[in-house]
Amino acid sequence: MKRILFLFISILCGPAAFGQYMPVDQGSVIQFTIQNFGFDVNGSFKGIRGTIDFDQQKPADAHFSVDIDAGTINTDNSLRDDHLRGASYFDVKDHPRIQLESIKIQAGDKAGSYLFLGKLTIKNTSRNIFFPFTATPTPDGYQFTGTFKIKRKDFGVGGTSTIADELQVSLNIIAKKS
Amino acid sequence: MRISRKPAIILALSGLVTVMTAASSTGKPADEHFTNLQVLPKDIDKATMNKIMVGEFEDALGVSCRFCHAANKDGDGLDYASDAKPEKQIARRMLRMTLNLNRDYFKIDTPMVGTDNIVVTCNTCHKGDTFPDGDPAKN
Repeated sequence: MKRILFLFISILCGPAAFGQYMPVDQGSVIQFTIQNFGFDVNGSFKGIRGTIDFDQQKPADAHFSVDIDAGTINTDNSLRDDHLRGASYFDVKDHPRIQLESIKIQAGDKAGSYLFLGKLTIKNTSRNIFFPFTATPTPDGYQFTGTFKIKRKDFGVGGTSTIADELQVSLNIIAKKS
Repeated sequence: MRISRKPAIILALSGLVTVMTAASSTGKPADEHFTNLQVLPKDIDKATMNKIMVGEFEDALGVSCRFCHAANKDGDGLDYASDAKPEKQIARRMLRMTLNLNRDYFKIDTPMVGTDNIVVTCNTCHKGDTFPDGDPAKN
């Protein structure tokens, strides 16, 4: 009887309860902004996949393991996109995916806000990153949003150029119950 | 009934002049007026503009018009006056830098791209490469 009751409560709690979710491209935006010669240039990626274990009530148990397709880089300039796919930048031939994996998730100050400590891997180079994010329940999963800054040269992406070293990454990820 | 030839010829010539005037007023002016020029001279003529755009930018950088110019909102053609693409702003800054290099370091009073009155050009660095950003030289 207790088992049935537990199962019933779990179903009632729906997607907000602990569960495994799958990030999807549709509705998700993975964007970056970087300065080139002093002007902001925006770009985006697609091809997100992976698994997200998340429970709003137990953020410490959460785990994110997602990656994106480096070859989908889109800066609204096909010539530049081809250049960025090349060996000196993302080298998508040998390193087709960019990975983000959590190490620790903590609750933030406000309801629905959390802190992400994880590892970002680009071109086989991993760096720890730390940033706040929000999780908003949706009918069939969650919407996760967060922004962080990184330095491209830390990952061996490009060398000396008119393009700035630091860039801002904005994530707006739609995850559905898997 | 006989019609006098003189008034008929005057009427015909008047009509011809009217038609020619109307035709010329609907066509493009001989020298196209460019808008939103911020670095290049505002009174630049079409031939000089084409020489700079093709001879300097396209050839030196290996790009075409749409590299810097945004598409028209209806998707047909390019909106040359638009500043929507950051590449155009970057091109302006690059152009200012090139002109300043010629004026400040080569003591050229009125440097102008697309003319012989210039030492440092786009091609000095680009050499046909859109992104001459420190990559190893291409063979």
